[in-house]
Amino acid sequence: MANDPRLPVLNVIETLADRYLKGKVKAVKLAMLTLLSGGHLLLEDIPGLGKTTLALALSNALGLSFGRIQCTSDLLPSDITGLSIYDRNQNQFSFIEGPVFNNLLLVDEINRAMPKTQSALLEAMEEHRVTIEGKTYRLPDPFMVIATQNPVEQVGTYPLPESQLDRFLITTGIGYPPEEMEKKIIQTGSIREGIRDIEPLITREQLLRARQAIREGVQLSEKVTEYIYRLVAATREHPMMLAGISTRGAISLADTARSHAFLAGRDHVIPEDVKTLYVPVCAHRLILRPENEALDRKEILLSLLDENPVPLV
Amino acid sequence: MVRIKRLLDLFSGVVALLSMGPVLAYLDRLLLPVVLLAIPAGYWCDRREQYPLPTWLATLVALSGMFFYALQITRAEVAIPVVHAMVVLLTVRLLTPKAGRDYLQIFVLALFILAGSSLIHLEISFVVYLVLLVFSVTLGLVFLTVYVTDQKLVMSRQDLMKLVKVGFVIPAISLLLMMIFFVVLPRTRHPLWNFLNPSDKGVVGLAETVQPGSFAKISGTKELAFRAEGPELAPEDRYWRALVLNQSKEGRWVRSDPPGEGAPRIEGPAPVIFMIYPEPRSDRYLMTLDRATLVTGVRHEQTVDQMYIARSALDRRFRFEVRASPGARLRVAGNVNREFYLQTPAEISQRMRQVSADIHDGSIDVTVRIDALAEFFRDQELSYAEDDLPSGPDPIDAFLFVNKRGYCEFFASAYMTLARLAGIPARLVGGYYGGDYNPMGGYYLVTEATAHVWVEVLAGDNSWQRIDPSQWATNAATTLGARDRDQLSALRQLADSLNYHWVQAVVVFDLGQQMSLFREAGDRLRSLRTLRAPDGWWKVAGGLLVGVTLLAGVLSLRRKSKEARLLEEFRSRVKKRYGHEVLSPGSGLAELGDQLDNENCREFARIYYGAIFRDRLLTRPERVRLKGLLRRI
Repeated sequence: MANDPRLPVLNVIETLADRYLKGKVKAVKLAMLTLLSGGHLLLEDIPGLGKTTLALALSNALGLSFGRIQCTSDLLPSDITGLSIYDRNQNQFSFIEGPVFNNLLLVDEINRAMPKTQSALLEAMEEHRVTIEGKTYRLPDPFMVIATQNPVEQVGTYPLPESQLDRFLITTGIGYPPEEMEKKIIQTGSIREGIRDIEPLITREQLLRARQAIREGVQLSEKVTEYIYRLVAATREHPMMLAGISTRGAISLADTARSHAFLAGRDHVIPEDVKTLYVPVCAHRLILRPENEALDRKEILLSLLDENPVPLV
Repeated sequence: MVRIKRLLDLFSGVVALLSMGPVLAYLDRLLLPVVLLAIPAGYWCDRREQYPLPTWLATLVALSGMFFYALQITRAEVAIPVVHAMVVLLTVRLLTPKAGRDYLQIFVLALFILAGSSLIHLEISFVVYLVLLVFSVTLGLVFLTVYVTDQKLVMSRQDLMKLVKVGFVIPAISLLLMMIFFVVLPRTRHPLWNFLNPSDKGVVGLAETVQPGSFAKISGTKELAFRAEGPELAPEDRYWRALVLNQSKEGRWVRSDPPGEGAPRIEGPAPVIFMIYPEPRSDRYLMTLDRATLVTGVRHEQTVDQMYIARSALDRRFRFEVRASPGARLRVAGNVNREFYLQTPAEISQRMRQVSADIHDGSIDVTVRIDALAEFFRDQELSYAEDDLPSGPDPIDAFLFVNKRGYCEFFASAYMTLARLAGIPARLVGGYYGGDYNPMGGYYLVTEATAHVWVEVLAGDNSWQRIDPSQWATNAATTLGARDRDQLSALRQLADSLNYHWVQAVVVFDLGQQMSLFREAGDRLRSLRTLRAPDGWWKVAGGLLVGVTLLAGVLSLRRKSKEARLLEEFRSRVKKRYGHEVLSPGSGLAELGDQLDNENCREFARIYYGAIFRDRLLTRPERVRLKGLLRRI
């Protein structure tokens, strides 16, 4: 069992959730699921709840290289991807890699960047490579973007278009910590300092091995496939929606469900895996009708979960 | 939207109608229109909620009706007055305001009336009424249970359909069980209630005298005389013998006890076996296929001239077995009282005397005389007819020489007279000729229309020989055997087969037959012979078997898998332990386990999910394990 590819991953989650990011188990778990499934994470919450802290803690604990972009309206695509600079000594242009060439990229307040910059980033996220001045550079593997955005502020923001939201595997909020815990945090102050000291808990190889184990070792049965399809199809036929979940969305749901099953130590996906991840994976992909914009996407999806019976026989 | 009260009112009307259906024909002339009116009137009153009779008057009417009919009960007639009294009660109930228990009373009365009708008359239609009534009463009771909880309830069509579905399942299952029990359970030889059962009135019977010329026209009724189950016979063998007439008395042929004669010996082909199911009749003659050698299944006596007479009245349906050799000769091993069979009527025309004298003088050999007489009949070119018949003071003479048309009695009487005058001992035999073979049921259907008379003569070798003078009619081929050929269409054949099986399987069914059936089945299995073409019971049993197999097949297709049954049990266990609200179709087993914080539930989910979400079925040890967990939940 010492060789179980699951253990280091679980170790990361437990350590982070118990010692550093108290009360953020769900967010940490979702972040790890995103990483295992090879997707990107969008943290959507008001400032000051620890979005950045989570991203920092995760990067430290994972022992991966870490880049960070603070988005502003004057941020240029080259600020992300990097650019070629003339080297006078060698008498040639040399390429200076931007923050995107890191395993883990924290994009703070992504909705503050101009659409042009957003789309450059999102292209990199989808393709896992960047093309600058006719030359294509591969991004490192694993590569994961943790973007944050503040859903409340509207002034000076460029909301992400639906097509680009679709590229994030999981969207989640963080929420306030439980009362006792928040009091303790208030008492002891921010834990930013402590986070710097986190030793890497998992190596890149271990992470890649876990990913392989998920791909090869977790079975998605016909019944669960059927269940996923029904859940996805239900959003497409929903009267309040302009567009339901895309095929990419369905694939994402299946992939994260596999990872979830893997973390639970199973070699098969069960409907509960799908149910757990249905809202985080699917909510941001829904396009509601203009008259229903005000509705909570999460509630709609939860009602769909209630309506579609779990396959049991 | 349907009001439950309206439904109940409708059903009480339907139930009343169904229960009275079989007894309508037996109701008093006075009561019948009242009953028929009361059913729609009752429904109308319920809708208007206005009733014609005040309660005290209704009670009075019911009591006086019961008293009136109770007075009519005699030892011989119990069922009809009792049924009448119940019909009066039911009628009064229909016409008075109804609450829950009144509906119940209506249903109970209806069932009693139907049961009572079986004492009066047990026909196959009884089953139809029974099935319909069982369904209606069950549905009515289901509605009633709803009605008592909320009398003003209005149901949507969907809810109503659900209710009706439930209501249908109960009687369907019980009727199926009833069918099985009917075959499986042993019964007494006679119905226990038989003492209450009045005799069926004899409706048919053979004429005990033969007197041609008394009517200008005869018309045979299509009334069923009997059914005879057995192999199909050649046309010349279809003589069903019942009665022998041997003496002439005032222009009629009648029967008087024949003098004793030597022991008869039947010489002929191997016997065939027929099972005869006679209709209730007023006489006691048992009809047998001509030249019967053995009659079993009924207490009877056998006369010297091969008649079989039952010892008790034949006013019930029953059956008996006849072993017979069609076309065999009846040789008498001793002397026959020839004088007895040579007595002639007092008045015989000159022409007939002349004819017989010619034959008598032609030869001393009886065989030659018989041939000569046959020759004479053929030469006369007589024709078979049932109207425009000869009459007058000497109808036989008119038949032979003037009109030359008549039916079997004319032919047989003329032959008798001439034969006896010519010194040939002869006797008249009454019975039936022909009958329609029903290939579906494997039996002959013989109606009163095929009643027939023929002659037996004592031939030279001291054997009684059958001679049917009617066959010498010029049109015998088209009339005699074909008399009621047109009556059985395929549909009627089917209906008659059903009726036949009803009589055979229900009315005359008894334990002995059942045991012999089992014995027979056992014998057949032991001897490992290929089964004979199924007849009667075997067809019914075979049909049932096929039906049950098909039903089982359909059920097994729809039957739930082992997994589904385990899951169902899991659900019911959880429901029992934690109540209803925890089970929603949108929740899975694993989350249920977490929600309830029940380790057994979690373990169940783990094992169960481990199989079905690996796309495989549960293994046996897994199932055992799951069942163990279920017990602990």
